Amino acid sequence: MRAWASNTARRRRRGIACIALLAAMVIAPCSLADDRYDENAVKAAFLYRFTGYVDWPRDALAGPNFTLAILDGDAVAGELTRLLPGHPIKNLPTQVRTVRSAKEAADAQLLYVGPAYAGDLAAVVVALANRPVLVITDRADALNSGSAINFMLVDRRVRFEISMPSVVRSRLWVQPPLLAVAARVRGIPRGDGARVVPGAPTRPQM
Amino acid sequence: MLAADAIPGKSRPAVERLASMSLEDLSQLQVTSVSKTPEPVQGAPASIYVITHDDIVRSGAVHIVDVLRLAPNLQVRQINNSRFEVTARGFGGALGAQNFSNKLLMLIDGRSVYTPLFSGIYHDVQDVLLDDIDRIEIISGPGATLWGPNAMNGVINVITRSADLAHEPMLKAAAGNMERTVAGRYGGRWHGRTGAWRVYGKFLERDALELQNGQSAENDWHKTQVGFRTDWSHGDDQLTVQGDSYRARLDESGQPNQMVMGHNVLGRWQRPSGRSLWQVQAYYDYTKRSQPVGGAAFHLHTVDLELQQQFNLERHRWVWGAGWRLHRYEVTDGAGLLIDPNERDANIGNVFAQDTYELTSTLSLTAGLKVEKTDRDGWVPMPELRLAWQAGPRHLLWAGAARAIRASTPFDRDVIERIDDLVFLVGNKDSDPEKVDTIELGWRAQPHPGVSVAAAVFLNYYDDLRTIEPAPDGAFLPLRWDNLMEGKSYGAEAWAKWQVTSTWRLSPGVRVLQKDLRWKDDASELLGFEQAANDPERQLLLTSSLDLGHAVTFDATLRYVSQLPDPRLDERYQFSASIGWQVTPGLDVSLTGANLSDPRHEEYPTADGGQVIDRSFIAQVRWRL
Repeated sequence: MRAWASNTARRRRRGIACIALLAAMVIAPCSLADDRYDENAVKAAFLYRFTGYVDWPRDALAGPNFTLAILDGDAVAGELTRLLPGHPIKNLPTQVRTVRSAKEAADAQLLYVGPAYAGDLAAVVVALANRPVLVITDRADALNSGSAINFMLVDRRVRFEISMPSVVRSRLWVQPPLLAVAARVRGIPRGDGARVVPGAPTRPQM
Repeated sequence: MLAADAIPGKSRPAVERLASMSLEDLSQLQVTSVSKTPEPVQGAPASIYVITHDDIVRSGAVHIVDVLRLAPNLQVRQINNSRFEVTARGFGGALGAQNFSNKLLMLIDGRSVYTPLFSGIYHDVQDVLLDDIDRIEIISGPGATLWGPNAMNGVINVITRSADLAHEPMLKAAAGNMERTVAGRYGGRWHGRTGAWRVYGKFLERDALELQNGQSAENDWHKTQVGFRTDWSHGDDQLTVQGDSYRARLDESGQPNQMVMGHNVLGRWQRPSGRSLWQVQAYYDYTKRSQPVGGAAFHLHTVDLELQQQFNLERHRWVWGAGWRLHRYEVTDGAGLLIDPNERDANIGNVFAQDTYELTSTLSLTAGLKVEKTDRDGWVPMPELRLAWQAGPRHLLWAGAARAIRASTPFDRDVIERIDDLVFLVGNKDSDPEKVDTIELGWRAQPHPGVSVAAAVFLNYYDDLRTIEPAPDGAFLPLRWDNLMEGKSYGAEAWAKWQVTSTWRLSPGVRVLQKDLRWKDDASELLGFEQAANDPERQLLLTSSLDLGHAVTFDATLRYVSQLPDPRLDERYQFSASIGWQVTPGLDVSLTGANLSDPRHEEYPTADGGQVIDRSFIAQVRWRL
């Protein structure tokens, strides 16, 4: 009988302790503020900074604007719209264009496909084949689908990977300082420099 | 950090300020990410829970099996110091009936760690450097077409980071009242940043548990492991080579110590071309468990080769592949256990194909079939059908039906167990694979940017479950295995992740399971249904992950497990917590307490009383260069 009583008391004490801990888990955090950076703002800043390290063929920069097309990335588009006025790219006035398909980005210089995009990334790349559009994606393994740059979150930091074969297929070039910051790079095999697509800016082999 | 938090209405740095930062500085900023849920709503139409790298680091765990406790769709129970029962959707077996937890498959970077000799997983030796893990995907439900046999009730898929993303030198040490560990990593990049490499080492020792009478179970556990991984890219081609080698000593009370060792090496090559991706993977795995004095030993060599192609064609997404696996084993006689034949080569071949067809822009149908050929079970088909309906931009409804199996093993067919001269138990040369037919319905949603929800209900029909039967000729002994149990199980699992504020996340999870088993004709009912499992009906999990400014994290987990039916164990609550402090960008420390609410408890009752797990604390220091 006594064993039962002490068991019940123990269980009750344990129950109270659990409720108290639960309450602490719930109440404590509510008063705390955040001092980290917004992921979308950081990505928008990266997109802008990328353009400084990427070379487009001259004919691709002949238009009146430098157009950054955004597919399923509304938050990043919003940040870019806030940022870009007053920041020309390649001496051209900038334009942010929200698109619903890759085709609408055919005359843009850059296409960012946000993580919300559920479709086939390879189809996006195929739709822009041979167009000098820098395709930037935001999905694991997207480089396998042919995108040039892909964002990833590593330890809560926005990092990116670059596929030089894809960059070159789009008749573009990425300068070494950008490669040096990339979390990983798919390079062009030694001796393949000759296969660089005609019209691409000539650069020394990597 | 306190100062920063104290400034009221501190405005977030504008995107202009970010755009003026250097690329290096941008890549070092910690970001808040409420948009990205680990399980995207668009993902596979199956019940998948993902344990992220961040979850693992914050948990303070030192071994993979402890990390698995974070998954609401898994049930982890510690049997003794080095032995664990891990199940999804139940059927953990019963040690007393020599029925192991054998309906869950586990892979580490594509290498199966399910042992084909006795069936089940030796969790003691399956480990990696936890800091190298990118994520652990836990699929509850059958993994018929893509994962093949033994994924009856689920798959645990451990995926480590490529060496590009995890090669910085690191040193880690942890000490507590129950375990101690020292681990280190060293690595670098290949020339031109087109690849990287790392090597690691890890030593772990765990103190013995206690018996019911308060005496030590004398089952200390010591393990040393080293390994490497390297990733290269050559144009579009990707190549990964990785390997591990380990050695462990498991003490056992009243028995000779068990020595365990193993090596493995794996190579994987991927080539994306246009809209298709080719993958070739090969691995070799050697594992040995032995008792140096008078005990049984087994040596198992596994060679596995797999070819796979994914491609998109109009509205179809195809995956097809073929594989071959060789198990070469040798079992030397133990005191009371022998396997006859004790040496054998088992060849397993498989082919599979799966097509996901977009019926409409929101509706897709996946149909797949894997056929496996073994020299003992013959041709075994494992079909799967899944339907996914994107009911809205943030809602996915899915349904699935599949047949999965557990392949029969030498332990089912060839075992001979003796007590002195008396043959007590023999295998059954006509053993059938255990089978399950499943129906599932699921829902995944992100009703609010900071909230993600997943839920699934399932109904499983099992057939040919293994039972123990008396000798067929009227003599009671020797007992033998047969497949004379069937029945169904049904239940539900659900979990959510709620980013309450940008620094605080709550993750509740729930799992309920009911079983309704029956005997088939001719069953002797010698041991009850409890030989199939001793599963709890309900499990609840609540995890709180809190960031106290930049540098301090506080994580707490409350778990409820309902009573176990037979052998009986009362319902229990477990509370564990971990506090971490990033002292400098390269140095962090943490203190973790497990079983805080329950200083002495058991998780796996046996007829002679389960082993007692104490409240434990462990302090860790991690230094990254």
